[in-house]
Amino acid sequence: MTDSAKRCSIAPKLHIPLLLLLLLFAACRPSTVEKESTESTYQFMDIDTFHIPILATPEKQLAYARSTFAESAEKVAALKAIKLMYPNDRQTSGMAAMELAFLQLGDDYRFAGEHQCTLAVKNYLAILDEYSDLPEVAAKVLWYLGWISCDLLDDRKTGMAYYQRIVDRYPEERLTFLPPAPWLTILFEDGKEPQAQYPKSALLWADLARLEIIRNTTDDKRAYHSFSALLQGTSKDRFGGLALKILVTRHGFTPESEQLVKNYLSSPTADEVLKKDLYLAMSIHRRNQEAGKPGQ
Amino acid sequence: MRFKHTLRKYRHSFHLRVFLALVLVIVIFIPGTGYVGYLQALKVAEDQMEQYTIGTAEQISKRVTSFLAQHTYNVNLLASLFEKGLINSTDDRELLHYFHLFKQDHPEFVNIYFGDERGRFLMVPPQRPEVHKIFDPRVRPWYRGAVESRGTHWTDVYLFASTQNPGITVSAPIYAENRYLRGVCGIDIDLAAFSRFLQGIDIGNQGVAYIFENKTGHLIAHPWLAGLPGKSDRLGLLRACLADLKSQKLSFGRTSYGGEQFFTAFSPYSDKEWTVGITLSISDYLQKIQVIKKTTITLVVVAILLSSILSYLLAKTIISPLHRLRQGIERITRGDLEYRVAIKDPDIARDLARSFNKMALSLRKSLVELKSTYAELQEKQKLAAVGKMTAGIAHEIKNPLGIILGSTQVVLDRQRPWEMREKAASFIMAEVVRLDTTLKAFLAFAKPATPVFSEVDIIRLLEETLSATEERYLEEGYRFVRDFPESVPLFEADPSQLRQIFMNIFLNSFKAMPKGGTITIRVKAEKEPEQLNADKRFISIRNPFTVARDWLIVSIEDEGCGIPAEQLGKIMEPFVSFRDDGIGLGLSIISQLVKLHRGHLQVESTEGKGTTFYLFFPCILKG
Repeated sequence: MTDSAKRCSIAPKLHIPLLLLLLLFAACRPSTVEKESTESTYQFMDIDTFHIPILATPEKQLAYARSTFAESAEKVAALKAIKLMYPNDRQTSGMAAMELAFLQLGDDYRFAGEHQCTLAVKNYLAILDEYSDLPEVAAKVLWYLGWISCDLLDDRKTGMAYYQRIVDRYPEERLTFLPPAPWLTILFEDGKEPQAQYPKSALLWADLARLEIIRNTTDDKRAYHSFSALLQGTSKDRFGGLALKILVTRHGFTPESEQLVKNYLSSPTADEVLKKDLYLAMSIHRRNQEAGKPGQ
Repeated sequence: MRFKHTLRKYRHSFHLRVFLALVLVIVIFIPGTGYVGYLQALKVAEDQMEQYTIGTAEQISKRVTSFLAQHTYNVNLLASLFEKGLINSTDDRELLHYFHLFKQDHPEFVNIYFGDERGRFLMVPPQRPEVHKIFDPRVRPWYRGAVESRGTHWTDVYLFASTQNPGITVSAPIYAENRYLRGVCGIDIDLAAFSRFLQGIDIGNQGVAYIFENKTGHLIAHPWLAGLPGKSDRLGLLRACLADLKSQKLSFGRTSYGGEQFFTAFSPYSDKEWTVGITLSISDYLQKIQVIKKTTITLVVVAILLSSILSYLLAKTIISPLHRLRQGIERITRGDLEYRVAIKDPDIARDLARSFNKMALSLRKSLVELKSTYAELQEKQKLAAVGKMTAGIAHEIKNPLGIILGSTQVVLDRQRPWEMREKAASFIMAEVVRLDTTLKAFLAFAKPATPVFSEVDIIRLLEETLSATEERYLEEGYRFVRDFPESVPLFEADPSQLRQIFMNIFLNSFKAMPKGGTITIRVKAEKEPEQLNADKRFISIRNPFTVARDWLIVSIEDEGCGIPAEQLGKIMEPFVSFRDDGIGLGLSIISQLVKLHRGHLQVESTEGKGTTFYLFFPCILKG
């Protein structure tokens, strides 16, 4: 037998054990567990050295920017991205701009310095200029300007002017609460996906402005006027009670306000906690009256 | 056709049968063993899975308790600090500073806050101003709960006013020395943060840990919170597990979801009326078992293949001695009694080979003895035949010789009248002719001519034989009836000897019917004729296995006086004649000639009715 013939006859004999070994090896090899891919299919935009993912809607983009980060440079970048990504969605851009302006006040606005407040006011004013045609944005900006002026800069006059502008220009504009990002919202009803934006609240920016006017004005008449206007709106037992409490604690009791308190206390739908406050205020007022002190 | 032949060959192959029997045993037992092993592994894995899930759920419950206890401890610490005056609750800035420091130390606390009986509220991180302006802590569940319980209070899940995030709050009332309620402090746990806490617990790759509220069934913590929008349909799985086990009132069990099987174990977290759930995909968990299953299947296949090869070789080993024995039998059948089977196989095969060789040796001895006996017998038969023949010849010659002797004396006696001497001479002549005939018959019997075979059409040959004699015998009152088929197969024979056979039978019939009569001749071809005994179908003395199935049968029937039963058995013997004019060799010659044609002769006769001669010749029938 020639060498080649020998090789030919031996080769199939070798192939069979090799094939069996390969089969065995293939069977014993642990199968690779398919790990869930963490690579997202998002596209990204670079803002201030940060990679900001581009989400499906401007609302989601805003929710992402608001909910994902604590107060940080990345949050600023994410908010800035909204206007660049969705320049035509002015309402969301305006909301993002307001968030940016709010960030000027620092981690805790109660410790914001004058410079921070001024910067914030500057930003809010710029927003007001840009989005004056959007009531949702303009009303909120004006309220924040009033709040910064009155509460943080102690400039009540300017603040009251802003509040008054809300009352005058946006009497029917309702508050919009921005909820957390839906994908971070763990609790929701079965079969009902959380929304990126809540429906508008029953409260009006104008009523909130009136409340602040009552709280900040030294003019009792103006306070009463604002209170009357506030009550003319939709039925707001709790909100009305709060306004009444502020009115009587800030501007003292008058026969008119006393009657208002009495009416509130006799209302079956009145808030129990506020009732207690008003009872207390009333009793102090009466004690003072009996002691001959001016009502407080 | 060839394929069918091969198939039939293999179907009857003993080797194949042994091989298939072994393979069948392997195919049943190896997978069976593998399957039982797999089932046992599966059972162990499922038990482990159950223990794993229940154990993990209990472990998570403990971790959650520890996590919540941290909040409880700190809120109580805060309340104590307020009550002991270490934190001035009336100074907002001081309080806020303290809260900030507290938050820095405990970043896991989402919100830290304080509310008092006048509605004042301070929180770190701060609320949105528009919320803060209208916020009253006294109406919030955490505040009310702490006041009503007069101690540490955990709320149910509710939405935080500041962020609208769902969460729970632990709160503690703060009392003045005179037990007057000064306010309530609280720490929030955002459920998203709670979920992140769950994500941080190592529960292995397979498990999904989650918590749900018993009262509402809301999932309050699950591990699928992501930084970006993604699919939330996986929550459907947890809800399905929850619904399944709740409806069956079970604490652990299986759930089918999206075409996959999941195992869930619930561990109650009694402090909060929550339940900790662990759900895992059975197929994921049993992945190792699946690997074992695949390996087992492959090993079974490989084992079957290898065992099949071994079975083939084993079957061959078992069968090869039998093959050698078969070869030996064939060689011995061919007459090679010197052949021996090689003895190299173990046990039974070796014994079998030894027995075979003994048998071959014994056969050889028997054959030698048989040959010797046969030779002796032949010698004796020859002597007996010679004696018989001598006696027959002596008998047949003795009388004519006596007549010839007497007649010769008469011829030689000149005193006798010429007529008498002439008559005696004619007697001598007749007796010499008779002696000549007798000697010719003797020679024909003693040394028959070797047949010269050629293909013969029996009908045609009969017709030729009859045509030569029929006319003459018709005048004497004999009639021939033919019962021939349209055609019969040709067969190998010597035509002249066949004619001799037929003529001799006809002459016998004529002698049996001196006054004339009918002779019926029938010809037919049959497969395995009943009339011919099985032992007579053998056509070869040398090879007893050569059996002729097809036979050509010629019967010649006369209406003569018949043969008495006691004579019927002797009519074939030579020199046996029951007639005065016969020498008793006619039927012996016929029988001898028929045998030379590998045929048989049978005679049936009824006294007074007639005799029938049956001639059987082997032939080949088509179809």
